[in-house]
Amino acid sequence: MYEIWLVLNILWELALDALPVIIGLALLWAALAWAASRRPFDAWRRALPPALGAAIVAGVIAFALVPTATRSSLSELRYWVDWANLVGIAAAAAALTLAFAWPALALLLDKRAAAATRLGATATR
Amino acid sequence: MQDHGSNPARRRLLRALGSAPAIAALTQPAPARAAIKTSANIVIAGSGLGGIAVANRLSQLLDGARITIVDRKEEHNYQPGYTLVATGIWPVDKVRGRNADYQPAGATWVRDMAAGFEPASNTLVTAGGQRIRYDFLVVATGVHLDYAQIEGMDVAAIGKNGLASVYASPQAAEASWGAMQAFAQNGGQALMTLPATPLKCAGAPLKMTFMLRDRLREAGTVGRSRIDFESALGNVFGVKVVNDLVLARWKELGIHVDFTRKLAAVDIGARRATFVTPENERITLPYDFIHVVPPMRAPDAVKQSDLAWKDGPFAAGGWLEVDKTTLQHRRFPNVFGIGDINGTPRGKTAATVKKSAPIVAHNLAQVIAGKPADVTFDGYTSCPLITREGSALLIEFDYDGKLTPSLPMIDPLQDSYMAWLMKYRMLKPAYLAVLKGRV
Repeated sequence: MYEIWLVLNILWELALDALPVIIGLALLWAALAWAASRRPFDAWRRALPPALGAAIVAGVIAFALVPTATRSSLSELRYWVDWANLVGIAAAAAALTLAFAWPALALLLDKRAAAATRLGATATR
Repeated sequence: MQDHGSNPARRRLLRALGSAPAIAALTQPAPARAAIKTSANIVIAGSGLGGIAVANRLSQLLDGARITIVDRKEEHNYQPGYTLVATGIWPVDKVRGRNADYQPAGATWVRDMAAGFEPASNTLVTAGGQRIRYDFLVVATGVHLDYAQIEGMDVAAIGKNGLASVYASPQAAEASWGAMQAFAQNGGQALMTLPATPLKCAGAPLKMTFMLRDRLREAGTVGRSRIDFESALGNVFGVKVVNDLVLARWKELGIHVDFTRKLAAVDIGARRATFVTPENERITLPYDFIHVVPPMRAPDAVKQSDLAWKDGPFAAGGWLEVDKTTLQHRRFPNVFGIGDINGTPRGKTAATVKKSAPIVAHNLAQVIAGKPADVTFDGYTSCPLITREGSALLIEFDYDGKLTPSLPMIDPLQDSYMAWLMKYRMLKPAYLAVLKGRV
């Protein structure tokens, strides 16, 4: 329990360091989610596979780059605890990417579908 | 420079945005029992991690207490980061903050140094001559870096002529990095010293040695260099299994160790250091780079007062005579100690304060309420021992030198990226949470 409380506090203090960025991202995500929530379910369904793809790519990039970005390297991962933690960090990066990519792609794909529908209707006329 | 993590304006902004309850809860101190109503007059001598952490915790635990912090120092330094500054990993700004940002609301701050204690009359005397009476006292003065014991040593010269010393200040740590860089370019003879007194962050001299070797490797000057570690302790670390591991590593890395040499004098201009052996033999060695670790003792205010140990292993250093489990003074029950000043086995680290500050605050609150100090401390301490840039060992142990990893899966003797990441990125946030009385 103590360790969980400690980790929550570490995350909180880290968040305070990047507060403007976090607030900006939160507002962006809220706007995306609100706009995408008005789209039909089909748009969300079609957006999921590419969003998952983007998340996986982000996770792989995070896995490869986080050690270097923290002045270390993949070669310094010496036992399973290192690997498990790095996988956790990469998974968090993937989840964050999914949280943004899914509504954003739902919006994008729905707009394209609407445009295609309008184009089809014009051609039929 | 103000530490970004402490900006109250940003915290207010986040609260104003109506954050989720879980996030709002994180901005508040850890849940505590109902505050104890008291009019106790509590004086805390020292505003390092221990002093401020206890002040914040007491302000949560007690309702109506008068808390006074006595310390002249305006700047708050994240001392566990000094080795990162001194080895070129962090910029110096990352270890500099302001004490005013961390003290609890309502506490009185006396900007003066404790110069003496008169525990028989419950009085603290400041350097400016103020006599401050207390009902309860928390001694958190930290250590005195006794560079004066080394003939010829000049703290102002750190960074010049191959002279390094990580302990003195953020500026000294930064200057030490300059000296290390200059040495690594050409290589040569390096001397790393270790005195025989109790040390704060006893891992720092080892980290400096590992990192110096790593910087020589990076610069391609290992072949032109020799590193000698001159210990006066008979070993290099107080926990045997760690000591043996470090010595084995250093043997592989070509670092030579002498176990009976105490640094007695340094000729900075001539780059020569003189060591004394137990047989009183004086040995003078030339160097291109030297890392000086000063002998450490209690500040005079404690050492010369009735609060200090009068006999036993902690008497020579004048350390505070506390019970090692309750951290309550053994002769003056209204006095407690926190942090480096305590005359206890091992544990002059921020990690010790992390685990002991809640105990000191709780036990003091108990005593204020007329009850005995009932929570005990096992001497927990921790040393994220950097072995090279990008890797570290996460060593945690107790008073008995028994390894006590926080999580069972952590192997304390295993080189680890995660241990490095903790040191590099996560321990300062943890420190700030301790400082604010939350962890």
